[in-house]
Amino acid sequence: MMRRKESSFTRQTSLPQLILLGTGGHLFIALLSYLAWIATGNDLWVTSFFNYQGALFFLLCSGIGSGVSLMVWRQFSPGDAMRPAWFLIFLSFALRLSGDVLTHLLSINSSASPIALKELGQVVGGPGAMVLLAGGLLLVLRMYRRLGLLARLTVFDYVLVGAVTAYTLRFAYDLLEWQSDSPAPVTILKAIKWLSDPLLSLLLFEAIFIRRSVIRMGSGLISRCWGAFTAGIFFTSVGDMGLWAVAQGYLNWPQSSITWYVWFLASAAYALGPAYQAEAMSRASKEVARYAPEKRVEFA
Amino acid sequence: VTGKGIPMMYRLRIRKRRLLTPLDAAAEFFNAVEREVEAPELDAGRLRLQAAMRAHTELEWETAARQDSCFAQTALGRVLIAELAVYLGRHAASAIMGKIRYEQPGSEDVLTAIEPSLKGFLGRDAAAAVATKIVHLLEPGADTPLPPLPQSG
Repeated sequence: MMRRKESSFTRQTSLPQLILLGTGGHLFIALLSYLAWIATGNDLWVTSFFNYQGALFFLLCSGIGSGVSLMVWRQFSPGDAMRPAWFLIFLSFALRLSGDVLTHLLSINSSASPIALKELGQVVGGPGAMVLLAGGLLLVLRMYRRLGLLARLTVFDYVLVGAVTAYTLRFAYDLLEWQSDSPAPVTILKAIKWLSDPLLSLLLFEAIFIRRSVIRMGSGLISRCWGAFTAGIFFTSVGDMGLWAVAQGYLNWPQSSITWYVWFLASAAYALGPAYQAEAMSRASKEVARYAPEKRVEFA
Repeated sequence: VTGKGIPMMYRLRIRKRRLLTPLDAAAEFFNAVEREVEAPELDAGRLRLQAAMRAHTELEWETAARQDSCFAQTALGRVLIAELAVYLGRHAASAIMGKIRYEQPGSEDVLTAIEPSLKGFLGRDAAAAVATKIVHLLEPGADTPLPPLPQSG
């Protein structure tokens, strides 16, 4: 009888490790294309990279996030406290994936106006996904609080909260000033897109609380899961602040191009969250397979 | 069932139910009175009570994390901490085991301590899977090697 031998790589490599390895490889190629652009002055190196490999990376990360978070949600039983949270997180990933498809795929070759599709994609994958993620993380925070694990903020955290509040207020001020000078009418899509920054600030508030609580728990698969979401939100904020700094003239060309790469880190971090949760659940299921059904504990 | 864990779980559930019934009745009475009187001070009182309960749980976690119980310092306690740390993290696992006040706890003591956190973060099924391993580690002769995982493919 032929027996397929499992290689030690597939046996030992988990999904989070694959995501980390893939991101490392992707960033290495990104670095090579960036260096080629700097050395030759030909921007085709970076535009090709962002249009093809970069777009594929975003789609893959959103796809993995959607698929794995759906799987995680289905593994929670009805009545489990975290089931609604994972449902919202799954919907958030699904919107992010739809947004990525509209922004990166359909808007390239489409008879419809590419700009309209791109804008719709940015709304769906931006504020739309953020609202749902904020709802999911709020339920996670409620769980931490219920278990008495919600940590108190430190002075550093309060400084961070202050910085986030200041940034949101500054953004609102800039927006009002810019709109009063601009003759272009405000469309619904444009108005929804403006919600991105206040929503990101809300996510950052939640991330600060979760990060402190995760540090309090120590490094485990669950802590890594929520830590990855926190990292995703943090990198998104850095990328967003980079865009704002470029628009305000604080960051000049070509140094500003470095901020484009932060979005890859954000996407990878978001995909890692459900991957760590799925890894925890799969490891637990493998453990129980060693015991006969009548010897297994059941929780009501 | 040869293990002592599962029958004890049933007993534990009955004990819990006995304890919860008067508490549920009290809660229902409290809600009825609240509906009847519609007094805002009752709301304030309930909020104060909830805040106090939360503070108590937090304090319990912190105290448990700081002072290792006798069980957490035993070899078996350390094994269980390592087992839980894979999922919840070392500090959380130590805090959970720190809540156990006996040197040789029964399965029900350990399960009572680990159930809320495991069920909260992993869900009922995965939590029960981890608890199964914990119960078997607590049994005498647990140091005998476990059978290997079934090979797939």
